[in-house]
Amino acid sequence: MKLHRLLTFAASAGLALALSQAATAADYPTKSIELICSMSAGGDSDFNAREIAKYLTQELGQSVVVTNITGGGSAVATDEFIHSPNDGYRLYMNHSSLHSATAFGISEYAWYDMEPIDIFGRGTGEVIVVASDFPATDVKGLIEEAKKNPGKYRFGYNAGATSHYLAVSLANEGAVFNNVSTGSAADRVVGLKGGHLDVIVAGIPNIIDYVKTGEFKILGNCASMRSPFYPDISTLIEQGYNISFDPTYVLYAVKGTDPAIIAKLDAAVKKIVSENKEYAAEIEKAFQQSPYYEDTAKTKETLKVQLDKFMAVKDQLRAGFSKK
Amino acid sequence: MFEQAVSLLMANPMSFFWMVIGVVIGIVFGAIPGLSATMAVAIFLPVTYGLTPVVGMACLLGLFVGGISGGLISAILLNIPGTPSSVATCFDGRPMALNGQADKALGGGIVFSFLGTLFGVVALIFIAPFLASVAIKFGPHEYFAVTFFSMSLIITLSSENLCKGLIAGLLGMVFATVGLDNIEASRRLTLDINQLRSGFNVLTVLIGLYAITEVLENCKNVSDNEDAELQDVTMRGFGISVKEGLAQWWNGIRSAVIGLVIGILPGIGGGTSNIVAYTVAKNNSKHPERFGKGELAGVVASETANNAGIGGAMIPLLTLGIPGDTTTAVLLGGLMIHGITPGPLIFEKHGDLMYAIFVLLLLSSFTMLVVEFVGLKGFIKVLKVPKYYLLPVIVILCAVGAFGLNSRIFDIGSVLFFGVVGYLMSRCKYPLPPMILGFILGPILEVNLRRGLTSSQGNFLDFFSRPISGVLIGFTLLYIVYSIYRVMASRRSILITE
Repeated sequence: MKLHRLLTFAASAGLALALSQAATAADYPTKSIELICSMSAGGDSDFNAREIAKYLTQELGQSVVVTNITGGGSAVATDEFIHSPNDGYRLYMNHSSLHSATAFGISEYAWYDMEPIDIFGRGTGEVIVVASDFPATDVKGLIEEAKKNPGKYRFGYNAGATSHYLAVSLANEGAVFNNVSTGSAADRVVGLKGGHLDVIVAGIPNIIDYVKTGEFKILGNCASMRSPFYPDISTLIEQGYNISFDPTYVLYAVKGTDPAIIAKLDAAVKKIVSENKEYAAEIEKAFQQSPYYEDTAKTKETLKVQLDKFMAVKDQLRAGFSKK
Repeated sequence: MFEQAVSLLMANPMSFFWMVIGVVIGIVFGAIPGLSATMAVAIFLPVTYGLTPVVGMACLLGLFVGGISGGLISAILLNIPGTPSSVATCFDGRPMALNGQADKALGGGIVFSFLGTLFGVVALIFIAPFLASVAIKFGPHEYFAVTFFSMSLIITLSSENLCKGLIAGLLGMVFATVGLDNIEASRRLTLDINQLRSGFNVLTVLIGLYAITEVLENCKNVSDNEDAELQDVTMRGFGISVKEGLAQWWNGIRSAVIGLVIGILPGIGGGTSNIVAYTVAKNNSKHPERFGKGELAGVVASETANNAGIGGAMIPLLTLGIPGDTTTAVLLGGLMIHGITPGPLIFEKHGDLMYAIFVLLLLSSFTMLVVEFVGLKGFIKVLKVPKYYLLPVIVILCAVGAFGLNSRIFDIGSVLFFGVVGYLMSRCKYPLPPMILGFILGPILEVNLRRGLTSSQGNFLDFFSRPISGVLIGFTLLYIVYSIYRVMASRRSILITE
């Protein structure tokens, strides 16, 4: 009798389990979702994570909560995320810092160790900035100047970040800078303003006020295309250099997540980015972004191209500047 | 600028509410022995994560002002300084209470706490924007020199034993090197533990060393407090007459200036200034023999000085990003969490918030004045709450706060780890402030040294040939030589007398 009861219980429990698993994809999500942002609260990445989370909450009917896990050039968050269960209740957002961490060797993982869902946004991009009395008006002039006066100009970069990649790329074009490791973009702006640096890379919102006051001037945009809000700033590619990096915000799921869940999330994101007027207005107001979306397949191609670019200069990145 | 600040505050009316809450809780933390302003700000920092920057800062500033002032209550009524900032308040506050003048001591202390805060904040309003405009000229060489100067001050001033102070400071610097280095992002002391790649968060170190250590210390003598005698008090008006208040004008101004200057110097704050101001007041008094027996001037000197240091400590924090004491070190974390990086450009980037901070500090000091007078009875009751209810709550709050920093269990572990480290250190009589400031200033020192060397192509001479850094470094070296000489001299005199 007892055995019989036990068997019935086991069978019904098994059935329930099977049912619940079958229901996962169709009913997803049944509880709140955590979105890990690898950048600290308050910046542009965090803002984008919170914006998409806010509207995903509306689309999915379950709250999407942003958690910031910082440190180690985003490697700590990547590490934490990769070892999470692949049930779709933990998502991750990162941008090119993921590739630079991979190429630089800070992180053991790359984008293909996760399931990219889609690209859901693109930042304003970073520009090359100098003080307004600098004897050059474009990147060509900058490189010429740096060839004529090797080591004279101080270039501010952040080890393992996109500015480091740019420093290496400019060196490959023949420019000889005195590369000074300077930390965040905010520190670089202070350095340029105080005359402690000569050339910096920074996001447009960081420096545009000083361009308006005539203290700084922009030599070129490092993104692959011009910003719709600053159409007169030409890109490095237009100026004849094959250097570009785009701050694309990518949403990831854990490796092995049910494709149906990924499709569902992708559809929700696509709807927000391409249709939601409120979302568009908010990202424009905060960081002068326009909505941008790439589907799962295209995102994977983009990520491959992005990583290849960083891997091409991998050895130079790892060598550093001061060890020469 | 003040107009923008006012409109920012009007757009965030909750900031007034949070500021009052902050002041009240700050006074409670200040009043209860063992809890300090630093701890109040550290524990409540996670509460501000979800608030807007201005509302969050309103809460933290309220805690700061209330926490520094609240210490006087237990100093006078229990003869236990609620915080290190009120040590000298005991000297005369307690005798006054025993002489039946508890209301006069409390009233005088509260009024001059308020005046001291006001003085410090006004100085902040005038000095900070000016210093910010000078600080933009500071390159890595100058930052290195300023930090070097600060570190030498901290280590010599905040410890009785120079060697132990140095060891604590260096220990702090060693812990700060864990993680990816700030120049080349190479891994240091990570022991192949992935979590250690991000290093130790400054707030986990602070909460651990301050709060957990303090709780462990208190566990030992929990029963001691239960039978401590609590003075009852009835307030008549402000406790002191206008005439008595006015008679202290010179003492008040002198102590405020002492508090301000010591507050501006990085690393030392209210804990030092109240004793210095008390000593100066005593030495300059016509009746030095009355000090220690219930002289109002003693309470006034101590309480004015420690509160004037609030404005002082905010000056290097906002303009250079170098915290002036442990409480402002936590505030630095609070600003960063809200995406505000203190530095020379802070008035250009966040001018409205800066002036809102000034307004909030002024409002907090008024609130403190009112709350302390109105709620005095209540705060005295809080002092009667047994420690064994309080301490576990604090440990939980510390753990929650640590997790809130970066959503990692690892940080809770770090807090407990640093709590144990701090306890062992304080058992062996190693001072904790040099360790914390070594932890905070060590990376600033290293980064600017290496940056300075790269930008001057590896030439060390630039640190000495640039005027500001040259003078500061020269001054620091002289000061270090003098401190060592002083230690040697005192040791020799001990040997001779033996």
